[in-house]
Amino acid sequence: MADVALLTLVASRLQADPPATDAGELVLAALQGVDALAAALRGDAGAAVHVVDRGREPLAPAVYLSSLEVEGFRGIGDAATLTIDPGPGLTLVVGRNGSGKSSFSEALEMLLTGTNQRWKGRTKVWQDGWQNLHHRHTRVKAQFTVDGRRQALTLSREWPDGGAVEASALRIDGKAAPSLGQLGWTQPLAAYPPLLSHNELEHSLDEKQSILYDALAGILGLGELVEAQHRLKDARLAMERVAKEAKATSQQLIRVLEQTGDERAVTALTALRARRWDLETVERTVGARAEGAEHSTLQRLRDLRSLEVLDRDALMTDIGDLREAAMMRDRIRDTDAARADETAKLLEQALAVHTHSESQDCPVCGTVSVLTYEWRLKTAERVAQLREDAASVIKTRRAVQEAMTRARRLITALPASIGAAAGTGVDVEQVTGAWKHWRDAPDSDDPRQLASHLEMYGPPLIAAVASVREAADAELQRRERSWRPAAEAIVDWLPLGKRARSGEASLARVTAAEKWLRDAHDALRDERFEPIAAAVQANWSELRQDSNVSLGTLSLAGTGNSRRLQLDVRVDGEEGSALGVMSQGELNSLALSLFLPRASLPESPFHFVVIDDPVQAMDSSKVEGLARVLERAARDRQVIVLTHDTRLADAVDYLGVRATRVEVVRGENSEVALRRVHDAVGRYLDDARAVANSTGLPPEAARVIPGFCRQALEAACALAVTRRMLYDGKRYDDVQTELARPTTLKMWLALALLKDADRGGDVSDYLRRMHPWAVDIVEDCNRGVHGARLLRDMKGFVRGVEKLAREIAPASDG
Amino acid sequence: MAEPDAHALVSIARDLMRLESAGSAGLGPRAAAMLGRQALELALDAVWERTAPGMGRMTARCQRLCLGTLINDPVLGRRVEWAWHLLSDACHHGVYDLAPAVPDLLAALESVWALADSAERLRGLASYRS
Ligand SMILES: Nc1ncnc2c1ncn2[C@@H]1O[C@H](COP(=O)(O)OP(=O)(O)OP(=O)(O)O)[C@@H](O)[C@H]1O
Ligand SMILES: [Mg+2]
Repeated sequence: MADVALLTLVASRLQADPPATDAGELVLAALQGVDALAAALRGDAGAAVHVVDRGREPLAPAVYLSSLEVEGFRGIGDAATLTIDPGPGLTLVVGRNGSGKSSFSEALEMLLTGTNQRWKGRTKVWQDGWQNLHHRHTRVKAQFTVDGRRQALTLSREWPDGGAVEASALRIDGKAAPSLGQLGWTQPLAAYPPLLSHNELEHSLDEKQSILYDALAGILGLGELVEAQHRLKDARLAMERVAKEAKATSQQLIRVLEQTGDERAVTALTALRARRWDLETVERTVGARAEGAEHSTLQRLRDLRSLEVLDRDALMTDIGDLREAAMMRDRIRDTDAARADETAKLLEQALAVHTHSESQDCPVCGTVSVLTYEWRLKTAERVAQLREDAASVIKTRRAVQEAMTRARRLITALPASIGAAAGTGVDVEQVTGAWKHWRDAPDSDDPRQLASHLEMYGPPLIAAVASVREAADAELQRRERSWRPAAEAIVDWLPLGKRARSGEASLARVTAAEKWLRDAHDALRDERFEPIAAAVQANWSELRQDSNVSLGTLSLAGTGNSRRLQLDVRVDGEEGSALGVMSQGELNSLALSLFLPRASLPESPFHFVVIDDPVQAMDSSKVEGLARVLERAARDRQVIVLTHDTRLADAVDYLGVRATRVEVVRGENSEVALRRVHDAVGRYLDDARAVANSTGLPPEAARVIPGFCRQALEAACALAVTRRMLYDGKRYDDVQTELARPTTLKMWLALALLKDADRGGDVSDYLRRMHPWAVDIVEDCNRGVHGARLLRDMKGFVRGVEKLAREIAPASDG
Repeated sequence: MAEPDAHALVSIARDLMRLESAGSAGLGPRAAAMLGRQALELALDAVWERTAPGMGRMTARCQRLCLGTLINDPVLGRRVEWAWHLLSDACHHGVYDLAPAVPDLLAALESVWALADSAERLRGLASYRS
């Protein structure tokens, strides 16, 4: 069964560009499965294209993540919730090493897949810490907003206390579910994985080329074409195997036949040595009608064996009949049947005349008184005798005639088979002689002569024929004995030979089908991969920044074991071996470049992507590129990036990329807190306000407020400087260098306001002129940081700091 | 109100660690670090007062370099050096700083406490001498 869309696509390509020979039917059959292919190869009518809508998962609607609640998993103890605005946009989850970021993303992975990339290819020990040590109840729950659905979708996975990691129970909207299949997520999770763990980021490119290929080829939706290619290949290999085997065994058969001195062996040999095996002829040599040519020795021998022979009893009967007929003829030799008949007629007439006459005198001669009663009786008797004599003469004549005819019929001509017996190995001299005598019968019509001839030459003929038949039979048996092994060998071999020959015709078709499908697959693959490759390129050129490695064409190439992700890489213009030349940071960038386009494909229902720590091995200029890449991805996807490296958040700030920031802090007992923060300035001000507004704190706690205020001002200065420098076209690295210079608040202000960190001494004058109200604020920040007690209203102080900070750097999202 | 000493600030800092803010994560650790820094300054001042008056006017770096030798405890000197960095980072804007990790912070406060202890001991010695 094949997918309708794919089958239609293939069918239309077949029409536009038909393969050599009529292999198109095989291509379509191969797409539908092994059985269909086998039927098509047999030429079954049932192999007609039979399209079925494959039982696919329903196409899942787009989903965004809205919250992720994790409890008792890895570094997270009591339940902690990461809340995210559903919809496209960038969210940065920032926290120090060990703050629990990866625990969140791995928990989500657990929820969706029931396992973890982190454990892949590692020993069992890596799994052991999956449950939090401080909180022994483990549960992960996520909410998603679903396109076209009013309420949120809730997925949860819960582990029985003390249970194994595999023992989790999945629930969809509160109801137990065996898998995510009902959501239509199983396939997309494999094809468009929305999570990129750090482990994958680091190692996905270490994988074997074929695995990289598969990971990308999977999203192209051409898997069925690959399967169909395999089916055709298997069919071809099977045929080739049969052909090879038939060929090899035919050589053995030929050797057997060569050693068999039988004409059938010769026939079979000729048939087998022909350019193309003549299997019908070979088969006939062992068939029921195994006569070779019409005048073959075998046939002649069979004819001799079945020579008709005189029946001795019939011969004797005929001889007896002849002799009896002769005797009968002797008996009536002097009888004149005609005269007797005439006389009988005359006497009958006399009797009739006498009956009507009273006289006893003879009317013919006149003799008186002779026609007495006595005369009457005697005459009637004599008439009967005469009539009888006449009949027996006729009967005897006929009997003699018949006996002679029957006897002569026995004397047949010499059978052709005896005449043609030369070379059969059967001696026919004697029988020929006997037959010659037999034929040489006397011409007379004397039955006795004929009887003697039969008596003399019949028995020797019978004996001679019998011995010829025996000799022929013996010869036939001798030949059969020597032929049998050869015949058996032929019978054994024939089915294979037939399969090989019927495969021969198909082989060409299958080969053509296979080639056509491979070409079609490669063309479709390249077509479909192109936009992805383009997106990868775009990402790479953003991320590579100063890297001297440039990425040329990117494509999926090869088939079978040689399939690979083809990356043309140039180092300073020189061609290099793809992955070998890349640094760890470049590899990470490339892995990310590959991941994002795949996760952003329109076919994927997952409109969220979670990336764990992509920044680690990157230097600052790449981080800036990363921020841009993420910004672009976030235009139509919900991009969630977990990182310990603040440079990404910085870059996002400076570049004015809209992003939500969430900070993760992990306290004692695995208590994990998450807070959404604005920009750095806002965060410091929040901190300051929170302390100023808290009741019940010891008065000394207020000593930290000036510190936060100073940080807020420094952050505002950094932001202002960065914006200005980037606006002026400076490179991000230069900005970083500049920002590393100020060590005091005055220097920060000088850099931001006077464009020169070294003019810290002029800051107070400047402020007095431009923002007189701010002079004291700056002084108090500095003094307060070192513990000086400030004699002023703290809340008002924070408000003043905020005003100054926003003067220096207006809020980006305000 | 009397000026609080280093010990007092360290214990307040430990309490502050649980402080939370609606607008930022890690207010507690950040506030604690800030107070811890002030406690460290106080403790250092106390040490110099007893060992080398005038050191307090030297640069912060110079003070930290001499500490181990002057209190005759190089191990504590190094711990304080490390705590100084951790706590100071939390006091300056490092563009987009994160709150210090709790275990690190606890260790730094511990070092400050120990420095305050040794300042007390030095005071005891000084009063004994005079
Ligand atoms: N089973 C467990 N029980 C208690 N703590 C754990 C457990 N497993 C891991 N941890 C701890 O939880 C912390 C969080 O780990 P996680 O990998 O989530 O941190 P992260 O924020 O991703 O850090 P990084 O920035 O280094 O990647 C680590 O300090 C780890 O030692
Ligand atoms: Mg991590």
